[in-house]
Amino acid sequence: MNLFKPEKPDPALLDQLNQILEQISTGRVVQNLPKELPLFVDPAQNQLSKNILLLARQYNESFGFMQDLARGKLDTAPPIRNYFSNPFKSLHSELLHLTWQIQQIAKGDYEQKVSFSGDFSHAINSMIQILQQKEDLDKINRENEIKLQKYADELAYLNNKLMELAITDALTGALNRRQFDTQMEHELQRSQRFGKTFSLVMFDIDYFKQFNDHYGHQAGDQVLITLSQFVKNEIRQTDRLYRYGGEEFTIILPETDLRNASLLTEKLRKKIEFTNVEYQGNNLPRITVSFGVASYSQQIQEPAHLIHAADKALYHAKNSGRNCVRLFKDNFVT
Amino acid sequence: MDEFNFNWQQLGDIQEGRPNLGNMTSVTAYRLMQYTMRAVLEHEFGDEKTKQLLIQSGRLAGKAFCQNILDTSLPLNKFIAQLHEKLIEHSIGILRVEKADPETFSFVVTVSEDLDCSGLPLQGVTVCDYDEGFIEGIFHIYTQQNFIVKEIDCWATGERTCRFTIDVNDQEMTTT
Repeated sequence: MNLFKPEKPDPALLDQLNQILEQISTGRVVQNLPKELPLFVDPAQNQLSKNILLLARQYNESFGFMQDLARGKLDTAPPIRNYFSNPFKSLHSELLHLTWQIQQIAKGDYEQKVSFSGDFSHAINSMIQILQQKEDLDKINRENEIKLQKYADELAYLNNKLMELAITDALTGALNRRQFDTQMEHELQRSQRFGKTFSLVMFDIDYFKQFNDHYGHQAGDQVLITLSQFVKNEIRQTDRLYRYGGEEFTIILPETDLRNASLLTEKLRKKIEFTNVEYQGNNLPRITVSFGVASYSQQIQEPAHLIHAADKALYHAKNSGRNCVRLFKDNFVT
Repeated sequence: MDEFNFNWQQLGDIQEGRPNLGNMTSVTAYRLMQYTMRAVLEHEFGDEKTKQLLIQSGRLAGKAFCQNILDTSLPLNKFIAQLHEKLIEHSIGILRVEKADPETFSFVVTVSEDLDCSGLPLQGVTVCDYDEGFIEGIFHIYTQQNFIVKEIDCWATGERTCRFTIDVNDQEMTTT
């Protein structure tokens, strides 16, 4: 039989405890929380009162942390030795870790794996896997692009080479006859359109047949190569040297009148006269060259006419003792 | 290793010695050994000295673990990822990095489901002294620098994960 008569609860204290629990249950910070509550005489009621006060303190301590956590603000430190917020502290820790991992992933580190974080683990790990696959694919694409570029460069180089071979004379490296014909058309059209002039130089080696007969065709070929190289080095970048046939060459001089073409040709003639041709370690006898020069004008507006005029001038040079320059001017050779 | 009479070979050939029971034991068995030993040490040498001895032992274990289990040639992030995997593989705990500054080698990491303390009754103080030394030893071998590892949260203080700060120690260490 219980001899203790239960103490009648203090209505004011009960009201205070009720207010605390009501504020907690409605998600508000407990206002005016006392450090201590008046003691009940009954130990059970006293313990209940202490536990409610402890709960309210932990709740209040957690409140700001949990609010910030809900907003994704992770730099608010969790309250220490606060058991009320333990699940949120675990979540806070997970989120801090996930944040760090995502930062690493953003830096391209796909080694990180998330373990034991429930759905987060699957989502993050799947993302890492996809990013890794994408990067692998990007890497392969980049490598393929580099390879493709290399092939394209090689192809372009070979195309250029092929193009060069198609328009170049194999022996001398001068442009070939076909290219000469094309360029002559081009220069004539350009001169007609812009009212400019250009000159054609035709030259061949004096006594070349006798030279070949005496020193052999290989030596003759070496003369052609040396002469071609020499002339290419002497003329401007815009001028072009062509092998017209046999030992006969032409030079197209864009935007050059007869006078300037004459000066250039005379300079070439003099230099060729003193140019050595080395063959099998020895110098061959020096050669001389005869030149014929003609320019585009009112009277000469067809490629064939210009070639004919330059050829006529060359013919005159040959008949004037060779090793000289002759000009076609106003239907006369001078 | 160092001045202590310990090397990895002393752990023996577990596969040969335990063909049926294998490499794993229960957490109960581990903690039974750890906490009885701790109780005796505390009784014989006091709390502070026991704490020091446990940190020293952990450091020795961490160094040996790093030298024998981990690839120290990896760059930092890969090394941490590897450490995470190996700690799970050996059922030691789940390592997670919360903050890392690779410039200063300063970290905050957590170890969840920690072998030493997860599930312990509340004691009001951190108890993972051995873990502190263990982490310190690993980072020392990896970086050849000395570290101060401090447990700031522990299951035994009411947290749900153990949290450690790891910082370079510029002072010369007095113990191994």
